[in-house]
Amino acid sequence: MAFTAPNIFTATTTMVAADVDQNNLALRTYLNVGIVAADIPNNVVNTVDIVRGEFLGVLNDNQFTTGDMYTQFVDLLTTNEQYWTSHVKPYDTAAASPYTYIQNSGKRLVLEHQADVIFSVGMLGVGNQNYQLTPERLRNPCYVGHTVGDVKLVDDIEACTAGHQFTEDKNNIDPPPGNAAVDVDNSGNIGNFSDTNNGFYCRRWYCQRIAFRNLEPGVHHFYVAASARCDKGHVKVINSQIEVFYKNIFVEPG
Amino acid sequence: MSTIKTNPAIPGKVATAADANATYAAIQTGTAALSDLNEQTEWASWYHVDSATQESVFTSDVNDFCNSVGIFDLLVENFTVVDLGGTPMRMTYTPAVTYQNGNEFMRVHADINVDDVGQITLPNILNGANDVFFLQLWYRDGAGTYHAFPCKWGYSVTNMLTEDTTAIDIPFTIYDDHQEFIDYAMVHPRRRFRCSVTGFIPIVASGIDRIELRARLVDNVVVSAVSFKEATMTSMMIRR
Repeated sequence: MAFTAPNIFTATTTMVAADVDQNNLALRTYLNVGIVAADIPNNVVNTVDIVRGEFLGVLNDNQFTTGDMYTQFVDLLTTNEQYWTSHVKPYDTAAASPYTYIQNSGKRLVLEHQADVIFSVGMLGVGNQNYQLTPERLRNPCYVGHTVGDVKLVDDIEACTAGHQFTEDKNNIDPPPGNAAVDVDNSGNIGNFSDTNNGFYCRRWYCQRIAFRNLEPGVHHFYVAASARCDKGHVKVINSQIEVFYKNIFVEPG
Repeated sequence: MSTIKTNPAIPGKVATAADANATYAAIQTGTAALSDLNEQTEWASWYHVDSATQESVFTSDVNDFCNSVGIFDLLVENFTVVDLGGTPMRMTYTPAVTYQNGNEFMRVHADINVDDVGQITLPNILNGANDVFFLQLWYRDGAGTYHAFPCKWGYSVTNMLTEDTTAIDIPFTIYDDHQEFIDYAMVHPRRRFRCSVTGFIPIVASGIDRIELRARLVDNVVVSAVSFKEATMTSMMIRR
């Protein structure tokens, strides 16, 4: 309830110090302990009131971050591409089709509580420097991956996020007829002219956004991975961001 | 309520009862209903949150869709729901998600791969959108009425020029070059590319209970079909 002064002064009566002090004391008491929850209306605590998460540096990433986002921007002009190669399969090598993790394309973070996470990534697949298998450059789809814990598995790849690049097929087949187009990788691309005519499939910009709901507390990785089908290739992940939305049911820390 | 006025006692001047009372009266009035104007920003952390009370600010209402198997063949020229092998690209809120404060909005994103393009029959002169398909987000309000997001995303599936190349005026002759452009475009359809769309919905009084992705062809004589697969979709109410 509102503050109420104990003493009301009148114009014809000399104010005494004790009354003024009593009013001030009452005011101090009100400010210290007198304000109760009912004094603050519903729905006045907004996201601007919430402490922002600190990014890297002094504090860990797992600070209170409801509604906030972790983001990293890779400058297209100053950062080289991230190369991949099919010669090295960095994890889950026993699986049938291992994926190659694209460095600097995502982030590892620790969720304090159950949360919804939205991972957004903008990437540019670049194919024209993959000269090893020219002119047959096979499709190297890039995917969003999400790993719980630190052991990455093929099952962590989200197949629905496929972004196709490097879809350039043979110029010619052997034996003749030499100019026939053959879709050797079932990519849908049958560009059968000179190398410079195949550009529609080389460089593609993708923006992908995927939500992961009800993630449990703990370590999570969000990243881009390639299914490398050629000797080597590269991709530019220009921007990736992770938005963490903690659920409304949680346990206070400590 | 905002900041509370005070009537200060001024040195050398006798304090009046009216001034003294006015200060306390202003505090009384001002504290009757505290608001966010009395708060600092960025003060709340986990320690301030009552675990027994679910504050609306923590209700993010994230929804998602993910499909990598089903295929949808788009054949028609009116907007129809993208249905991936019997799984429509639709997110449902039950009950309808409602807006609780001013300046809240729903954010929606969808992306989907074009898997293949059907028969293409290019005319001699291509109009601006003949070889185009459109994607559009739709939502259904709490009263059951569908609304289209006021924006569409168009994608061309060929690289055919829209200029009239049937009569190119070059010195001393008029040259018809349209067949060369058609021949080239026919063997370079745009396939296997990913389309991304993002939309925002400001306050809807009755709330939202469905969001879906729809698609249409512009001219199914020119492009008979476009098939889609491998899609994601996510929506989120941005709370204040």
